[in-house]
Amino acid sequence: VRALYVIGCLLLPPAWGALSVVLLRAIDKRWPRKPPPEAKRPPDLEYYL
Amino acid sequence: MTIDVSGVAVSLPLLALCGLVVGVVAGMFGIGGGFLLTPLLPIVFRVPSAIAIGTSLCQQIGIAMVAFLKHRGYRHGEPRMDFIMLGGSLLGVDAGTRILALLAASGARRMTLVLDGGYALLLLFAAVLTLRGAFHTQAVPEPIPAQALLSRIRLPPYISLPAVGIPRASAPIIAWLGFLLGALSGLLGVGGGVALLPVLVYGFGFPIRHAAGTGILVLLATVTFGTLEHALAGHVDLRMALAILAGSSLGAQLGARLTARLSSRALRIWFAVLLLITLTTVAVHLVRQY
Repeated sequence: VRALYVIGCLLLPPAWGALSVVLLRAIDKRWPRKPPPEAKRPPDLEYYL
Repeated sequence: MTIDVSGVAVSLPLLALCGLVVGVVAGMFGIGGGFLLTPLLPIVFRVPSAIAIGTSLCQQIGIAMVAFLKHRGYRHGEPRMDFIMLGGSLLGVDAGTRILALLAASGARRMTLVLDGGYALLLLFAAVLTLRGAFHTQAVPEPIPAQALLSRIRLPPYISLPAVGIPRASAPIIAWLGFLLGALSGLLGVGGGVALLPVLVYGFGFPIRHAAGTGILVLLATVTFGTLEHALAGHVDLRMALAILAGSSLGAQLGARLTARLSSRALRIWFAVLLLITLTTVAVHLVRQY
Protein backbone atom coordinates (compact mmCIF):
# COMPACT_ATOMS: atom_id res chain seq x y z
CA VAL A 1 0.00 0.00 0.00
CA ARG A 2 2.84 2.38 0.87
CA ALA A 3 4.58 1.67 -2.47
CA LEU A 4 1.31 2.38 -4.31
CA TYR A 5 0.98 5.68 -2.41
CA VAL A 6 4.53 6.71 -3.39
CA ILE A 7 3.86 5.83 -7.06
CA GLY A 8 0.61 7.82 -6.84
CA CYS A 9 2.50 10.82 -5.43
CA LEU A 10 4.94 10.67 -8.34
CA LEU A 11 2.34 10.20 -11.09
CA LEU A 12 -0.71 12.15 -9.92
CA PRO A 13 0.82 15.68 -9.96
CA PRO A 14 1.85 15.46 -13.67
CA ALA A 15 -1.51 13.84 -14.48
CA TRP A 16 -3.22 16.82 -12.82
CA GLY A 17 -0.87 19.13 -14.78
CA ALA A 18 -1.96 17.54 -18.07
CA LEU A 19 -5.65 17.66 -17.11
CA SER A 20 -5.43 21.29 -16.04
CA VAL A 21 -3.89 22.22 -19.42
CA VAL A 22 -6.92 20.62 -21.14
CA LEU A 23 -9.28 22.44 -18.76
CA LEU A 24 -7.57 25.82 -19.21
CA ARG A 25 -7.63 25.44 -23.01
CA ALA A 26 -11.35 24.57 -22.85
CA ILE A 27 -11.97 27.65 -20.66
CA ASP A 28 -10.04 29.85 -23.13
CA LYS A 29 -12.11 28.46 -25.99
CA ARG A 30 -15.46 28.85 -24.21
CA TRP A 31 -14.73 32.31 -22.80
CA PRO A 32 -12.14 33.96 -25.10
CA ARG A 33 -10.05 36.61 -23.42
CA LYS A 34 -10.70 40.18 -24.49
CA PRO A 35 -7.69 42.38 -25.18
CA PRO A 36 -7.70 45.50 -22.98
CA PRO A 37 -7.73 49.08 -24.21
CA GLU A 38 -3.95 49.53 -24.66
CA ALA A 39 -3.69 53.05 -23.34
CA LYS A 40 -5.25 52.26 -19.98
CA ARG A 41 -2.95 49.48 -18.82
CA PRO A 42 0.80 48.98 -18.60
CA PRO A 43 2.01 46.64 -21.36
CA ASP A 44 3.09 43.82 -19.06
CA LEU A 45 -0.24 43.41 -17.29
CA GLU A 46 -2.21 40.50 -18.66
CA TYR A 47 -5.52 41.30 -20.25
CA TYR A 48 -7.57 38.41 -19.00
CA LEU A 49 -7.05 39.21 -15.34
CA MET B 1 -2.89 33.11 32.15
CA THR B 2 -1.60 29.74 31.15
CA ILE B 3 -3.21 26.90 29.22
CA ASP B 4 -2.43 23.22 29.23
CA VAL B 5 -1.19 21.90 25.86
CA SER B 6 -0.45 18.15 25.94
CA GLY B 7 0.63 18.40 29.56
CA VAL B 8 2.76 21.52 29.03
CA ALA B 9 1.79 24.88 30.64
CA VAL B 10 1.88 27.58 27.96
CA SER B 11 1.60 31.28 28.83
CA LEU B 12 -0.92 33.01 26.54
CA PRO B 13 0.59 36.54 26.89
CA LEU B 14 4.04 35.13 26.03
CA LEU B 15 2.53 33.36 23.04
CA ALA B 16 0.88 36.60 21.89
CA LEU B 17 4.26 38.36 22.33
CA CYS B 18 5.92 35.69 20.16
CA GLY B 19 3.14 36.26 17.57
CA LEU B 20 3.78 40.02 17.81
CA VAL B 21 7.50 39.63 17.02
CA VAL B 22 6.81 37.27 14.11
CA GLY B 23 4.00 39.59 12.95
CA VAL B 24 6.38 42.60 12.90
CA VAL B 25 8.79 40.62 10.69
CA ALA B 26 5.91 39.39 8.52
CA GLY B 27 4.57 42.93 8.10
CA MET B 28 8.03 44.33 7.30
CA PHE B 29 8.87 41.76 4.65
CA GLY B 30 5.47 40.66 3.36
CA ILE B 31 5.97 37.05 4.40
CA GLY B 32 3.83 34.64 6.41
CA GLY B 33 6.47 34.05 9.07
CA GLY B 34 5.69 30.35 9.48
CA PHE B 35 9.33 29.38 9.00
CA LEU B 36 10.22 31.56 12.02
CA LEU B 37 7.28 30.67 14.25
CA THR B 38 7.00 26.90 13.77
CA PRO B 39 10.57 25.94 14.83
CA LEU B 40 10.45 28.38 17.80
CA LEU B 41 7.23 27.01 19.34
CA PRO B 42 8.68 23.62 20.44
CA ILE B 43 11.95 25.23 21.54
CA VAL B 44 10.55 28.22 23.50
CA PHE B 45 7.27 26.76 24.78
CA ARG B 46 8.21 23.05 24.74
CA VAL B 47 4.97 22.05 22.99
CA PRO B 48 5.14 18.85 20.89
CA SER B 49 6.40 19.48 17.33
CA ALA B 50 3.23 18.07 15.73
CA ILE B 51 1.05 20.54 17.68
CA ALA B 52 3.40 23.41 16.83
CA ILE B 53 3.09 22.52 13.13
CA GLY B 54 -0.72 22.16 13.13
CA THR B 55 -1.26 25.32 15.20
CA SER B 56 1.17 27.38 13.15
CA LEU B 57 -0.60 26.34 9.93
CA CYS B 58 -3.94 27.29 11.51
CA GLN B 59 -2.87 30.83 12.41
CA GLN B 60 -1.33 31.27 8.93
CA ILE B 61 -4.82 31.00 7.37
CA GLY B 62 -5.57 34.53 8.61
CA ILE B 63 -2.31 35.96 7.23
CA ALA B 64 -2.69 34.12 3.89
CA MET B 65 -6.29 35.34 3.51
CA VAL B 66 -5.26 38.99 3.99
CA ALA B 67 -2.34 38.59 1.56
CA PHE B 68 -4.59 36.89 -1.01
CA LEU B 69 -7.19 39.69 -0.90
CA LYS B 70 -4.46 42.36 -1.11
CA HIS B 71 -2.72 40.82 -4.15
CA ARG B 72 -6.07 40.05 -5.81
CA GLY B 73 -6.85 43.76 -5.55
CA TYR B 74 -3.52 44.63 -7.25
CA ARG B 75 -4.12 41.95 -9.91
CA HIS B 76 -0.58 40.65 -9.52
CA GLY B 77 0.33 37.06 -10.27
CA GLU B 78 -0.52 34.37 -12.79
CA PRO B 79 -3.79 32.55 -11.94
CA ARG B 80 -3.02 29.73 -14.42
CA MET B 81 0.09 28.85 -12.45
CA ASP B 82 -1.94 28.84 -9.21
CA PHE B 83 -4.54 26.54 -10.79
CA ILE B 84 -1.94 23.98 -11.90
CA MET B 85 0.02 24.09 -8.64
CA LEU B 86 -3.15 23.75 -6.55
CA GLY B 87 -3.82 20.08 -7.42
CA GLY B 88 -0.21 19.13 -6.73
CA SER B 89 -0.07 21.07 -3.46
CA LEU B 90 -3.16 19.36 -1.98
CA LEU B 91 -1.60 15.96 -2.69
CA GLY B 92 1.67 17.24 -1.22
CA VAL B 93 0.03 18.38 2.04
CA ASP B 94 -1.41 14.90 2.50
CA ALA B 95 1.99 13.31 1.77
CA GLY B 96 3.77 15.71 4.19
CA THR B 97 1.26 15.01 6.97
CA ARG B 98 1.71 11.23 6.48
CA ILE B 99 5.51 11.58 6.55
CA LEU B 100 5.19 13.52 9.83
CA ALA B 101 3.01 10.75 11.31
CA LEU B 102 5.60 8.15 10.22
CA LEU B 103 8.39 10.21 11.79
CA ALA B 104 6.43 10.60 15.03
CA ALA B 105 6.00 6.82 15.15
CA SER B 106 9.70 6.23 14.49
CA GLY B 107 10.83 8.14 17.60
CA ALA B 108 11.42 11.66 18.89
CA ARG B 109 15.12 11.77 17.96
CA ARG B 110 14.56 11.01 14.29
CA MET B 111 11.66 13.46 14.17
CA THR B 112 13.79 16.25 15.69
CA LEU B 113 16.61 15.51 13.26
CA VAL B 114 14.36 15.74 10.17
CA LEU B 115 12.27 18.73 11.35
CA ASP B 116 15.12 20.82 12.78
CA GLY B 117 17.29 19.89 9.79
CA GLY B 118 14.51 21.04 7.45
CA TYR B 119 14.02 24.33 9.33
CA ALA B 120 17.77 24.95 9.44
CA LEU B 121 18.07 24.45 5.66
CA LEU B 122 15.11 26.76 4.98
CA LEU B 123 16.44 29.46 7.33
CA LEU B 124 19.94 29.22 5.83
CA PHE B 125 18.51 29.45 2.30
CA ALA B 126 16.47 32.55 3.24
CA ALA B 127 19.43 34.16 5.08
CA VAL B 128 21.82 33.66 2.15
CA LEU B 129 19.32 35.12 -0.34
CA THR B 130 18.62 38.10 1.94
CA LEU B 131 22.29 38.88 2.58
CA ARG B 132 23.07 38.50 -1.13
CA GLY B 133 20.43 41.14 -1.85
CA ALA B 134 21.63 43.43 0.96
CA PHE B 135 25.27 43.53 -0.16
CA HIS B 136 24.63 43.75 -3.90
CA THR B 137 25.82 47.22 -4.76
CA GLN B 138 24.36 47.14 -8.28
CA ALA B 139 20.73 46.50 -9.15
CA VAL B 140 20.14 42.84 -9.99
CA PRO B 141 18.71 42.55 -13.53
CA GLU B 142 15.29 40.93 -13.87
CA PRO B 143 15.63 37.29 -14.97
CA ILE B 144 14.72 36.49 -18.59
CA PRO B 145 11.93 33.84 -18.67
CA ALA B 146 13.22 32.05 -21.78
CA GLN B 147 16.65 31.58 -20.12
CA ALA B 148 15.35 30.51 -16.70
CA LEU B 149 16.20 26.95 -15.70
CA LEU B 150 12.70 25.51 -15.13
CA SER B 151 11.19 27.31 -18.15
CA ARG B 152 13.66 25.43 -20.39
CA ILE B 153 12.64 21.92 -19.26
CA ARG B 154 10.93 20.09 -22.12
CA LEU B 155 8.24 17.92 -20.57
CA PRO B 156 4.85 18.19 -22.33
CA PRO B 157 2.07 19.26 -22.15
CA TYR B 158 2.97 22.95 -22.07
CA ILE B 159 1.00 25.98 -20.99
CA SER B 160 1.54 29.64 -21.77
CA LEU B 161 1.66 32.07 -18.85
CA PRO B 162 0.85 35.35 -20.59
CA ALA B 163 0.43 37.40 -17.40
CA VAL B 164 4.14 37.01 -16.68
CA GLY B 165 5.41 36.89 -20.27
CA ILE B 166 6.31 33.18 -20.33
CA PRO B 167 5.27 31.70 -23.68
CA ARG B 168 5.75 28.05 -22.71
CA ALA B 169 6.15 26.22 -19.40
CA SER B 170 5.84 22.53 -18.58
CA ALA B 171 2.57 21.79 -16.73
CA PRO B 172 3.91 18.60 -15.02
CA ILE B 173 6.88 20.56 -13.61
CA ILE B 174 4.51 23.23 -12.23
CA ALA B 175 2.29 20.53 -10.67
CA TRP B 176 5.34 18.85 -9.10
CA LEU B 177 6.43 22.23 -7.72
CA GLY B 178 3.00 22.53 -6.11
CA PHE B 179 3.42 19.02 -4.69
CA LEU B 180 6.79 19.88 -3.11
CA LEU B 181 5.38 23.09 -1.66
CA GLY B 182 2.43 21.21 -0.17
CA ALA B 183 4.71 18.50 1.27
CA LEU B 184 6.84 21.23 2.90
CA SER B 185 3.71 22.68 4.50
CA GLY B 186 2.33 19.36 5.72
CA LEU B 187 5.69 18.25 7.11
CA LEU B 188 7.21 21.44 8.50
CA GLY B 189 4.15 23.66 9.05
CA VAL B 190 5.46 26.52 6.93
CA GLY B 191 3.44 28.33 4.27
CA GLY B 192 6.23 27.78 1.78
CA GLY B 193 6.36 31.31 0.38
CA VAL B 194 10.00 31.64 1.43
CA ALA B 195 10.89 28.72 -0.90
CA LEU B 196 8.41 29.51 -3.68
CA LEU B 197 9.44 33.11 -4.35
CA PRO B 198 13.05 32.36 -5.41
CA VAL B 199 11.89 29.35 -7.46
CA LEU B 200 9.43 31.53 -9.40
CA VAL B 201 11.92 34.39 -9.89
CA TYR B 202 15.10 32.43 -10.64
CA GLY B 203 13.57 29.12 -11.80
CA PHE B 204 10.82 30.43 -14.08
CA GLY B 205 11.96 34.04 -14.63
CA PHE B 206 8.87 35.70 -13.11
CA PRO B 207 9.00 39.48 -12.61
CA ILE B 208 9.32 39.98 -8.82
CA ARG B 209 5.96 41.72 -8.26
CA HIS B 210 4.14 38.93 -10.13
CA ALA B 211 6.07 36.27 -8.23
CA ALA B 212 4.83 37.77 -4.94
CA GLY B 213 1.22 37.60 -6.20
CA THR B 214 1.52 34.12 -7.68
CA GLY B 215 1.18 31.28 -5.26
CA ILE B 216 -0.82 33.23 -2.65
CA LEU B 217 -3.97 31.28 -3.59
CA VAL B 218 -1.96 28.05 -3.41
CA LEU B 219 -0.53 29.07 -0.02
CA LEU B 220 -4.03 29.85 1.26
CA ALA B 221 -5.35 26.50 0.04
CA THR B 222 -2.27 24.67 1.35
CA VAL B 223 -2.41 26.10 4.88
CA THR B 224 -6.21 25.56 5.03
CA PHE B 225 -5.97 21.94 3.86
CA GLY B 226 -2.91 21.37 6.09
CA THR B 227 -4.82 22.73 9.09
CA LEU B 228 -7.74 20.39 8.32
CA GLU B 229 -5.44 17.37 8.04
CA HIS B 230 -3.59 18.24 11.25
CA ALA B 231 -6.87 19.06 13.04
CA LEU B 232 -8.19 15.59 12.16
CA ALA B 233 -5.03 14.14 13.71
CA GLY B 234 -5.61 16.30 16.84
CA HIS B 235 -2.59 18.55 16.21
CA VAL B 236 -4.30 21.96 16.22
CA ASP B 237 -4.74 23.98 19.43
CA LEU B 238 -7.20 26.78 18.65
CA ARG B 239 -6.42 28.71 21.87
CA MET B 240 -2.73 28.89 20.91
CA ALA B 241 -3.58 29.81 17.31
CA LEU B 242 -5.86 32.66 18.42
CA ALA B 243 -3.28 34.03 20.89
CA ILE B 244 -0.58 34.01 18.19
CA LEU B 245 -2.95 35.54 15.63
CA ALA B 246 -3.87 38.35 18.08
CA GLY B 247 -0.17 39.22 18.47
CA SER B 248 0.75 38.77 14.81
CA SER B 249 -2.16 40.94 13.55
CA LEU B 250 -0.93 43.84 15.68
CA GLY B 251 2.70 43.09 14.82
CA ALA B 252 1.99 43.08 11.08
CA GLN B 253 0.59 46.64 11.33
CA LEU B 254 3.66 47.79 13.30
CA GLY B 255 5.96 46.04 10.82
CA ALA B 256 4.33 47.75 7.85
CA ARG B 257 4.86 51.17 9.53
CA LEU B 258 8.49 50.36 10.40
CA THR B 259 9.18 49.51 6.76
CA ALA B 260 8.67 53.14 5.78
CA ARG B 261 11.26 54.32 8.37
CA LEU B 262 14.12 51.98 7.46
CA SER B 263 16.12 51.75 4.25
CA SER B 264 15.78 48.66 2.10
CA ARG B 265 19.35 47.62 2.93
CA ALA B 266 18.86 48.05 6.69
CA LEU B 267 15.63 46.03 6.47
CA ARG B 268 17.41 43.18 4.73
CA ILE B 269 20.29 43.16 7.18
CA TRP B 270 17.93 43.12 10.21
CA PHE B 271 15.93 40.34 8.60
CA ALA B 272 19.10 38.31 7.95
CA VAL B 273 20.22 38.84 11.58
CA LEU B 274 16.86 37.54 12.81
CA LEU B 275 17.08 34.55 10.47
CA LEU B 276 20.59 33.75 11.70
CA ILE B 277 19.52 34.02 15.38
CA THR B 278 16.62 31.59 14.69
CA LEU B 279 18.96 29.32 12.74
CA THR B 280 21.42 29.26 15.67
CA THR B 281 18.58 28.48 18.13
CA VAL B 282 17.39 25.58 15.95
CA ALA B 283 20.97 24.29 15.48
CA VAL B 284 21.66 24.41 19.27
CA HIS B 285 18.39 22.55 19.91
CA LEU B 286 19.34 19.92 17.32
CA VAL B 287 22.83 19.43 18.77
CA ARG B 288 21.45 19.17 22.35
CA GLN B 289 19.16 16.34 21.25
CA TYR B 290 22.17 14.31 20.13
